[in-house]
Amino acid sequence: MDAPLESILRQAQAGDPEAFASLYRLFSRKVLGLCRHLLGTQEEAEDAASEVFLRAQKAMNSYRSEMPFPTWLYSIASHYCVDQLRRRGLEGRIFSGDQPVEWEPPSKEPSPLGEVLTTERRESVQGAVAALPERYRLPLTLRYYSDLTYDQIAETLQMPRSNVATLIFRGKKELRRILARAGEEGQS
Amino acid sequence: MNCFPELTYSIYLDQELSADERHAVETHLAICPACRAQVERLSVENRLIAEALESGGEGLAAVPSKEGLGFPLAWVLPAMMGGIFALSWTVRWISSNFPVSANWFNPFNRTAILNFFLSVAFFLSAERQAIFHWFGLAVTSLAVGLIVAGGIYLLLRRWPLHFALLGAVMIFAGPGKPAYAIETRNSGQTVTVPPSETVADSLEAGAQYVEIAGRINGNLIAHGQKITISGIVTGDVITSSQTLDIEGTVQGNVFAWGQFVTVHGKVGQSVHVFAESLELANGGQVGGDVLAFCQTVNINGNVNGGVAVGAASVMLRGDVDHGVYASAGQVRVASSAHIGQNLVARVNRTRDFRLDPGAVVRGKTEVKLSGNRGSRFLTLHYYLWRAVELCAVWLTGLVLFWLFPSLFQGKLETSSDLLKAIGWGGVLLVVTPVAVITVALTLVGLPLAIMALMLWIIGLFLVKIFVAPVIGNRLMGTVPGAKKPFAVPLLLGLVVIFVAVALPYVGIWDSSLVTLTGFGLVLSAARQTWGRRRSLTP
Repeated sequence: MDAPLESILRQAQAGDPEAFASLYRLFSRKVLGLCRHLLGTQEEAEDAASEVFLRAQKAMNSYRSEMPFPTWLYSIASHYCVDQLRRRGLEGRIFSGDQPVEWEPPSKEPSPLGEVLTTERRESVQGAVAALPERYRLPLTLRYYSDLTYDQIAETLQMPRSNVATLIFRGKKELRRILARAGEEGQS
Repeated sequence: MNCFPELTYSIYLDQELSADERHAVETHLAICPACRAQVERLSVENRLIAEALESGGEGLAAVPSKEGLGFPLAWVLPAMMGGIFALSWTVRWISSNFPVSANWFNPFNRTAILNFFLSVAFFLSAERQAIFHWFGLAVTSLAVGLIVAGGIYLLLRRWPLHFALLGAVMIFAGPGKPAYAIETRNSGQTVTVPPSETVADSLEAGAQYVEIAGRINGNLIAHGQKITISGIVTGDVITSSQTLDIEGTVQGNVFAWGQFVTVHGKVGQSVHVFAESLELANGGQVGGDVLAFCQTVNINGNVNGGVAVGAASVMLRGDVDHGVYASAGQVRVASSAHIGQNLVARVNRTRDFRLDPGAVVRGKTEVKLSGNRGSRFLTLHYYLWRAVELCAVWLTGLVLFWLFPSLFQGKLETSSDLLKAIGWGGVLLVVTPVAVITVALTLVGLPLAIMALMLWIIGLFLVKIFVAPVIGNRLMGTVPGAKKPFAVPLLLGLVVIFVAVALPYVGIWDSSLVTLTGFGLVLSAARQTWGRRRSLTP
């Protein structure tokens, strides 16, 4: 477990099942979390995570060290989950294809989220993220949970890179709106 | 220099600007405190989102996405209300323009529904064998129905359920009439409505003797030892009594439970009797059908509809305009009898049926022999139908699993799970009919009650689908939680269940056990789904 990641990776690439098991132990929680954010339910996420590790094991030899291993693994996971979502037949409206996402003029909107992060606040942010429409939740999750770059996200979601930036930004604004609304409801 | 839009700062913080752009932004930030503050806030926000995602990814599952059908809510709501109104209006129109001859089938007519269900109950008990054979086909049609319903569900499931429920309530409330007022009279000895009196509403009466000589403008609901109607009841008569004598006129239907039921007078619609004896006296008249389970049935008067009876002995002397179906120990059609359509008698031996010379049967006369037919296990027919039924149930299960996988998440791993499932199953099994009866007492609730009852009856047939995969997985040694195959364990489990419930003597117990467990499993799955939804609502 304590062996540096590179040596574990080398052993795993050589086909050592023990090494791959270590990789599984290191990353399964994070991959499961990603799948859960992307797919929405625990059951589907568990199925997806096991499938992702199966695919990763098969593809181990194609892994090149130019890319950090976590990024490589998360991109397998996000590709798989996005495929699943597409298969649900919803992509027609989640991913609006290649049309550019239009810029909205700025208007009076809630400001960025406050600084204090109490437990309660964190839970409400979690709830708000989960309540985001998929078109926003996916890019936000891929960016801030899996640390993928705009290019990687664009490739995964099959949309122009410029759309990724806009969707991420709009996702944040939507998040502010949801939280502001929840705050009002909580007060009244 | 002008400030950049917030989007640019968001991209800047994500380190996705080109070198030139980044340089321009940084130059600006150096001189603009407002933008610096904005960038600071954005950066905190990014950290918040990352932290929330981080802890959320390991704790809770995400709330199911609440996306609608892709239309704005504000647009859909009025459209939906309009749709409901139109539907409600259509229902009302259909209801009032329903052809009288087909009124028994009118789903919006309370009496028609009751008549329909009583008829179904009758044939279910009298013609169980035949119906059982048709069940395989029925389940297949059900599967098709489920696919259609499932399609609609898939369209609607991202839509809050309560709108759909609200719609249903409005549809039924729309054409509904306000419930009648009911007057109640209870006394130890006698309740009398004298000839001079007119009761403006429906009357509920309970006494040892109930005598209706006057007029009731509504329904009569009565219980007592002896009930006599010599006056007029404009609505239905529902009684539970030792003796019921109808000498006057009932313009609606009669539903009677008791020992002796005699009709000397006139009943405008149908007569439903569950009693020791039913006599339609000479001169008595029934405008609709006669449905009776009795020991003895004597039809001496006129029936404008048909007669369907299950009895020990049936005697027919009068006129029946439609057909006669009698399943009885003995059936006799006297020479004075006149039957407008077919006569079907189900008796044990040929000599138990007697058609006197002079009796007129306009349609066909058919005598079916019931009784000793040998063991059902010896006929190929039996196995063929069981196979058809098995396939139908299996297919239904696959469709159900495909549409509602969450229905199958009930756990049955320990014996306490099993006991719990059986317990809850029992509760559901008992509570549903009670709730149905309670709801059915209100006029608006009746269609809902009927829907619930139908679901419940369908449930009785279908619950084995939920037990089967558990048994199948157990037999195949599938590890719980692993990626599960479904079709094969379902089939295996169904085979086991089909064999178990077909066994002589113990089959009935197996069947009850499966039913209870199945109901319990469905309930537990529903509670899990509901519980998870609730715990996730922020």
